[in-house]
Amino acid sequence: MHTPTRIEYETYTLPNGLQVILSSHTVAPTVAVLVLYKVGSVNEPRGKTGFAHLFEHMMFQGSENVPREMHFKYVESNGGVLNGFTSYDMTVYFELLPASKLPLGLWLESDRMRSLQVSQENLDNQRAVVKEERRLSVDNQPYARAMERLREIAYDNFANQHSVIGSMEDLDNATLADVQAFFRTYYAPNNAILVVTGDYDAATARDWIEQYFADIPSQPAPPAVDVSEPDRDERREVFHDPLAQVPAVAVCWKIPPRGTLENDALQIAGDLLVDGRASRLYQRLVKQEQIAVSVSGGVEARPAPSLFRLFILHHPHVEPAQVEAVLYEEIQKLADAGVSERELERVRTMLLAQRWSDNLYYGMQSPLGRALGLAYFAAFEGDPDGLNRALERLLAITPADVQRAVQQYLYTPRNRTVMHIHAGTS
Amino acid sequence: MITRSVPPPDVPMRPSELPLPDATLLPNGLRLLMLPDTRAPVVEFRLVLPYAGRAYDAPEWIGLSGATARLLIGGTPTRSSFEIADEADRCGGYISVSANTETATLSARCLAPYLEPMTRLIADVLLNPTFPPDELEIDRANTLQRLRLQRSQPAFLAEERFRIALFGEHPYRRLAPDEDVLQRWQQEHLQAFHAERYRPQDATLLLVGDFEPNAALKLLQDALGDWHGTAEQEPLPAPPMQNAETGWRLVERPHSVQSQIMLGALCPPRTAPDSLALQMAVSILGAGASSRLFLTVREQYGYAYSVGAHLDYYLRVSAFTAEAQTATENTHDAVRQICAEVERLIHEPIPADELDATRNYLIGRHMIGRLTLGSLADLYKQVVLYGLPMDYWRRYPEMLESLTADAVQQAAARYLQPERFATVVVGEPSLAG
Repeated sequence: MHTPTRIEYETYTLPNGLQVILSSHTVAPTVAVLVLYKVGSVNEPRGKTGFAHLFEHMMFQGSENVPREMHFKYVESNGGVLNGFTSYDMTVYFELLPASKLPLGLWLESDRMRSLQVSQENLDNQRAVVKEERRLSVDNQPYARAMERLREIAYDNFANQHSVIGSMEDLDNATLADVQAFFRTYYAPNNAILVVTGDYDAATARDWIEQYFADIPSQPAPPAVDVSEPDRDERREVFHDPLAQVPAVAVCWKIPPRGTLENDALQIAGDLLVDGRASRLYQRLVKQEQIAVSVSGGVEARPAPSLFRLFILHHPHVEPAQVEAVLYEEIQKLADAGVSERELERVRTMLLAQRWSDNLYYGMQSPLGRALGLAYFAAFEGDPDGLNRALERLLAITPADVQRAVQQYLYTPRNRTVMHIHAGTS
Repeated sequence: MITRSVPPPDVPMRPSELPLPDATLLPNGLRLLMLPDTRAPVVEFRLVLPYAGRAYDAPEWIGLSGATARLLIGGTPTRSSFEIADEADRCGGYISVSANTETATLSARCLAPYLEPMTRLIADVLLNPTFPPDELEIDRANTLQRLRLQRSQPAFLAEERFRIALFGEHPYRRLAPDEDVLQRWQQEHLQAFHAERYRPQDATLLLVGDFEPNAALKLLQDALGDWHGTAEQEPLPAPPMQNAETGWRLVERPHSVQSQIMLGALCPPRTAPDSLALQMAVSILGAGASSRLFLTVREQYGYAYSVGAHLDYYLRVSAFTAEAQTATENTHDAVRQICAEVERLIHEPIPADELDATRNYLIGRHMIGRLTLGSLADLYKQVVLYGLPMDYWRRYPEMLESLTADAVQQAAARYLQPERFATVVVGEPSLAG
C-alpha cells in the first residue's frame, strides 16, 4: 500500500544556465508552463520590504513584444489561466493552457525573462494595487496583523522576519531604478527553473525552448543571503486585535530547514497534533476540555530555518494560560510516550492521499501541481527527484524519529514564541 | 531564426470528449451516477439531498439544517465521532456534510483501495446518526464562537446583508443560524430533521474515480439499499426574480481600512434560455484578468487588488454579483466605475474579438475544470444541483460558440440595469449613503 507512484521527468540545462524540466502527464489535453525564480522576500534588505512581491506584479506589465495588459489577454483569450506568487524564498509564474498553446506560453515567459519593460506610471499603478492587496489580506482581516507580528518576533534574522507583502512605507519608497536593478540581478536564466508538464511532444517542446530561451544572457550569480538563525530563549507578547471577536493563542518554535530528518519528523508530529478531527490537539482541546473552538498549524516548511506553528481559537471565558498548559501537556506526552505504529499508520495514509489531492496548485492530479513540485525540489534540494524522495522519506519516518524531534525542538521553551491575541481593543 | 514579435503558431492537440456517467435508479428512489476514471487512485463521492438545505428549516428553527449536517458525523450506534474521523483518515480521505441554501450535500473521497470501508462509513453516518447530546453541546458552543468570528470578517458581513437585499423574506436569505434558536435545539430536533429530510427519494449519489463499476454498484446497493424515507417532499416556491431592496446599504464595521463592496441583482436560473448569454455578458464584465472590471478598476485606477463579477446559481434563480475591496476613500468612486462598466456593456455593441476571447476563456476554464477527479465530480454535481441535462458540459463549448454579440448584449440589457442593483458596502460608518 505504501508505494507511491513516481512522478517521472527529464531535466537538462541550457548553456546560459537555465534548468529545464519536462514531465509528461497525458490525462487531459492541457499543458502547464512554470518558471521559478530563486528570489523572494529573504532577498529584501531593510527599507525594501515587499519589493520582491511588487516586482512580481511588474512582470505582468509588459515586455518588448508583449504590451501592457496583453500578457493576461494572450493567455485568457486562448483558453488559459495564469498567475504568479511570491513567497519568502521563491517567485513563481505559471500558465495552464490548452495543449496546442504550449509555444505561446514559452514565448510569453521568454519575452519577459529577456526584455521586461516597465514605466513609472505602471509602477505607481501596481503599487496602489499591492497596497489594496495588503489591506485585503492583512490590515482589514482579524488575526492577520498578529501573524505578521508573530513572525517578526519569532525570527531574529531580518531576512526571515519580515512579511512578503511588506510595509506600506517601504512600498512607497520603491523606485523604477530598484525595479531595473532587481530584474538584472535576480531574473537571469541561471537563477531560474523552467518546467513544462502535461500533454506535449517532448521533441517539439525542447525545440521551442531552445529557440526562445537559449540566447537570453546569463548574469553573475546573485549575492547569497544569510538566512541562519541563532538559538534564543522564549519570547512572549500580548496582541490586541481590534478586528477580532474571538481570542486566540499562537505558539511557534524555530526548527531546522525542510529536507532535514528533523523537519520531516516534525511534519509528522504536526499531522499527529492538529491534522483533522482525529488529531490529538483537536480531541483534547476541542472535544475533551472544550476550551478551544478550533486548532490549526503544523510545519511551515522552508528551505531555511522553518517554523512549527500552532494557532488555537479559544472560548472567551478561558484563560490563555490554560490553553497553553494543555498544549504543552500534549507535547510532553508525545515527547515522553512517543507514538504508536498504528497512529503513525493513519498519518502515512493521509500523506499518500495528500499527494493525490485535487488542489490545482499542489496536487499531483494537476499538471501545475507536478510542475511546482519538480521546480521546488530542483531549486532547493538541487534535484527534481526530491519530489519523489520527499514522500518516501516521510513514509519512512519512525516513531523514534518523531519522539526525538519533539523532545529536542518542541518540548522546550527554547526558540519558542508565544502570543496571546485579545479580541477587541485593549 | 524565429520571430519574437508575434505569438507563435499552435501545435497539434488531441481531442477530448467529456465522458458521461451511467445512471441507475435504486428501488428506494436513490439515483446513482457512476463515472469510472483511472487518472488517479482516488474515488470521489458527491451526494445531493435536495430538500435538506437552509431554506427548508421551519421559520422558528433557522439553523437546524446546518446543525444536522455538521453533526451527521457526530456518532452512530457503532462509531464515536473520533472513530468516524479516524476511519476516514485511514481510508485516505474525508467526509464533509454541509447545508447550503437549497440542498444539503455530502462530499467524500478515499484512496481507491479503501472504497469498501469508505462506502460503509458513509452509509453508517447517513442512515444511523445518533446526534449524541455531548457532541451537540460542543457544536453549540463552538458554532456561537464561529459566528462571532465570521461576523468579524468583511466578506461574510457583506454576503449576509446582500442576501437580505436580494431575497427579502424568502428563505433563500438565510446564511447563518439564529443565535437564540442555536441555544434551543436538542437531540430530538436534529433526529426529526434527519428523519424527514435525509431521504433517498430525489437524492443523487455521484461516484467518480478509480473503481470497477459492477463491483461498486453491488457495494452501493448493499450499503444503501436499506435507506428508506416516508413523506413526500415539496420544493419551496421559487423566489421572485427581482431584488427585495435596491440602492446603497451600509454595514458599519468600525476600524475598517478598506471597504468590501458587493452589488448585484437577481437573474434567471441556469436552465433559462438566455442564461448562457447572460453568463457571457457577466464574464466579459468581470471574469478573469482581461475582463473590463479588472482592466479599469484595478489596472487603470489601482482601486482594488481583487475585482470581478459572477453569477451565483440556485435551482430556480441566479444572482448577478460584482465584488471589490477598496480603500475607504475610493469606495464611492469604485462603485461608480463598476456601474459605468455595466452601462457600457448594456449600451455599446460588444466587439467580435472580445466575444471570442471571453468564449475561449470560458471554454478554457471549463477544460481546467475537467483536470482532476474532484473537479470532474463537481461538474456533474452542478448538473444535479441546477437540474441541467446530463450532457450539458459536453455541449457547453458548442453552446458558447453559437452565442451572438447581440444576444449577449440583450441579456445584459434585460437583467443588469444598475437601477435593479442593491449595493452593499461593509466599512467605515462614515460611508453612509
